Amino acid sequence: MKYKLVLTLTGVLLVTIIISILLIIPSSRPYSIWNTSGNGYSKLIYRYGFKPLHEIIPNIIRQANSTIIIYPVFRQIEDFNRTVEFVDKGGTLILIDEKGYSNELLYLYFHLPIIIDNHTVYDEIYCYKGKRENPLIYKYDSKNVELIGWTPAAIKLLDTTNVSIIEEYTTSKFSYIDKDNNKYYTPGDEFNIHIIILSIKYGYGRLIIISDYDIISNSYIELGDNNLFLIRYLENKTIRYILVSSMPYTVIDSIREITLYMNSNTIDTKSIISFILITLLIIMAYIGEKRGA
Amino acid sequence: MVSIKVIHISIIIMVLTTTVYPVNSIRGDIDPVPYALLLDTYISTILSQDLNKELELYNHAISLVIDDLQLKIVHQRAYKILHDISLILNNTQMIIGIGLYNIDHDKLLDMIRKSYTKLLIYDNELDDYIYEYVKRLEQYVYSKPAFFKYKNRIYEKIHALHKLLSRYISQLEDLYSSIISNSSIESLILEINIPEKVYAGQSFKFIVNVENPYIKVNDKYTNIIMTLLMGPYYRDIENYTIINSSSIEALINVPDADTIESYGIDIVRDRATREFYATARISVKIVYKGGNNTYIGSVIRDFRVLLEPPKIVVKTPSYAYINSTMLITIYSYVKDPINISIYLDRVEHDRLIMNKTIMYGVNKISLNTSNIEPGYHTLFFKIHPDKQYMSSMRSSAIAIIHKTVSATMSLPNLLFGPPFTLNIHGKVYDNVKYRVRIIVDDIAIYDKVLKGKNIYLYVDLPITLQSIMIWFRSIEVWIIPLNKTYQPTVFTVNALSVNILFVFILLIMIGIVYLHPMISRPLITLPSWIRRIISYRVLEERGITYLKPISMIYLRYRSMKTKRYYKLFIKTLASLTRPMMENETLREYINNVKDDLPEGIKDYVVKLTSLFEEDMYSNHHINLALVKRYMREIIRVLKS
Repeated sequence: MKYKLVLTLTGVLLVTIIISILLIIPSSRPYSIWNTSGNGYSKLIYRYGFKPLHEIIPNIIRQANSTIIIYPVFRQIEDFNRTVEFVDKGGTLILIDEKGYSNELLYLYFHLPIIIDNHTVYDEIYCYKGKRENPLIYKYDSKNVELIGWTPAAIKLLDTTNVSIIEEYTTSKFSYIDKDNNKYYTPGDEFNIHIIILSIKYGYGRLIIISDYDIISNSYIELGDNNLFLIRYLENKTIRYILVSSMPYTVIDSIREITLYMNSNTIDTKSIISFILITLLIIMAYIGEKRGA
Repeated sequence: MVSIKVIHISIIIMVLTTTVYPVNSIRGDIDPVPYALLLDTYISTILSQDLNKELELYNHAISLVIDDLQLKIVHQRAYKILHDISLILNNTQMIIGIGLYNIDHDKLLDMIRKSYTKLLIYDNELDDYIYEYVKRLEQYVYSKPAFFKYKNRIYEKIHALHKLLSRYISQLEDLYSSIISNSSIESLILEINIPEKVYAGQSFKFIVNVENPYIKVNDKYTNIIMTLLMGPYYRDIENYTIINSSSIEALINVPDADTIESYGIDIVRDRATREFYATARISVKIVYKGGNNTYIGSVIRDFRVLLEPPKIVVKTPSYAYINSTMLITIYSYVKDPINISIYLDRVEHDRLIMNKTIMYGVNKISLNTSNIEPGYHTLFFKIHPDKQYMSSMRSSAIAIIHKTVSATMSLPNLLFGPPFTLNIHGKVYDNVKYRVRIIVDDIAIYDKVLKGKNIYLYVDLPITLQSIMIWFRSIEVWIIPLNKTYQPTVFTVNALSVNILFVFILLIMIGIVYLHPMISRPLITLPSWIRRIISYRVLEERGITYLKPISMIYLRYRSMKTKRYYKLFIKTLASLTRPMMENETLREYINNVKDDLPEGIKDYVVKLTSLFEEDMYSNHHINLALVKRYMREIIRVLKS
């Protein structure tokens, strides 16, 4: 009997420790919302109050006016219709795609003549710290807002007649699309002003397309006006989600979601200790019941 | 010995280091083409005398992070001389222009001398600085063709800049000599009216009015210089007439979109009006000699040259058949003819399909798809610039597919044999020659070219393993048109092939098995064996019969409610007599030790025994209070 009890207790404690470690240790996967290093998206969660969302449900569409969804696309999109309906009903969707996975969504479902070119845009002249991989991105017709990106792609607007553009952010005229992926300007590459961010009015809502995964990453959000850029879209948007359905998301990531619903908005030692205490209380209650019997 | 080894090792290390770290070329991580483009753009802003943009580009160029110190020095030197040129040009323009004629002559002459000297020095030194910089950039070249394109453009712009400097030098010379020869120079007040916006490729007239009273402008005493400037593009306006003593009318031809784009002039989009425009400048300078006085006046006006994206809508079918003609409809809302180039997949020379001039209205273009591979493609329509219409691009996705031959086919689902004969009846609706190929179980058994629309075929199937017994056989009938425009059609069926001979043998075998006692007896007893292994209990409820194996039913024993008192009872008896043996039941134990018990507790022991037995072996409710009372009585008696 004693042997069994010790075994059970050890098992429960081990599970508790493993869960605690999983909750404490951040992910190291690039662009993970649980990655607290420079190339992660954790600041979206802990600083801006975004919550992970696995699917756009009808309830979210009903509250679309006060909802903003960041949608990083790292693989082919599966659910198209709800995304379109969300924006159409007044939601704000920030679509982040550098590889052109969302072209089908934009072209066939949003019916927008927009294509995300999956080649990198470099700028040797207007760049951050002399690195052509870090082009400076300006609001069109204005040099006041200066964003800093990392190897963005270009958004191609095939036809401007049927698109109601609210604002666009572009690189300088010295930037080029590196079509042959050699990091140098060669014949066939295009020197031009390239659109990196496009904000469009669609239905009653707003669609913002960003062709750079890094602009809102933990390290880049601190650079230039990247932070101000994001904050502007968050005004009056009380419900904030980051749609994780098209990005790598593991079971461990799902466990990490528990921390958001514990006692604070941050993974701190307090919440971990409280979690362990609750588990210990449960164990003690269990032992007490056994002895009583 | 040791020293020889050391020498050997050192030689090996030397060889290794020299091979691993070869003396590399100077090329580092600098892409020189954007630097060349920056220089090209910067010279353009100087030529167009756009001071704000020039200053912005200069500040940015000077602050660029360049790791190569040598390159940084020549880079900064080149931009500094160009910036100085821009400043001196602006200064010279001010000297030549209005507003400075009221100042002291000596001071003005001094200013002219200084500007003149500087212009001469810069004109002389400019080439050296630029060539040195371009040469240094060239050392970093990754792609020579790309760099040479911009290198040539830079040299063209430098040539234009030399011309501009020469003009200013000669103008300063004129001014200087006129000041020396005449003691009196006065300014001419000029007024010019030009529209704010003009479409590219158009011509318009404007009038220059001389506002000074008493001055009679005429051909004999008046020198008129009018220039149109658009970045690197400039033209002298020679088509002017003096219409009266104070007015000059000039006709100006604004360059068309093709010229604007070929000169690389910046086209900007106005966010408010959504107009595309390039900025142009008209410069008018008039020198009038009247008596002993020289009157000099100049005026500069900027205006927008508007460009329009051509209103052209391209409609293509979403798919087209291979080796056929695809019809593309182009709706042109442009009144003038427009040239259009059609490219497949990429806008490159080797992907050009056709050039076409399209007219106002509906244009239909037939495109042969014979050279296009089947699959998804993108057609690019490059609209060439003309008049006010800027270059533009349309694109359309198209799938090039084969036509599917239209046919019906009836295939059997059941085949009896042997012999197995496949009866096929079908009809091909398209008027094409075709080949019929029949594949049974991945083996082609028939392949012939047929004519006519109706198909009647009787094909013997080969004897395979499947045809020996009863089995499914996959039958595929391909209709392959000989015309490559069509793609083959296939009809498939999984037919059940029944070998009658096999069925007959099987029936006989079953009969033998059933009749022969050696085989039939064990078979007959088999169900009873199975029945023994699995027992059934048949429950009947509401007329429905359920079968439930008995192993599923088990008794549920409840734990003893009097467990604590039972243990105390046994313990007490053990202390009075002996402990209970493992092989004894409670009743046996009591019977064995009853005689050794004190008289006072015997009755209670008997009563408690029956109560404990009831608790142990029955599901009855036990009166716990009674058990407690008997136990208390026993303890009381024992204590007394």
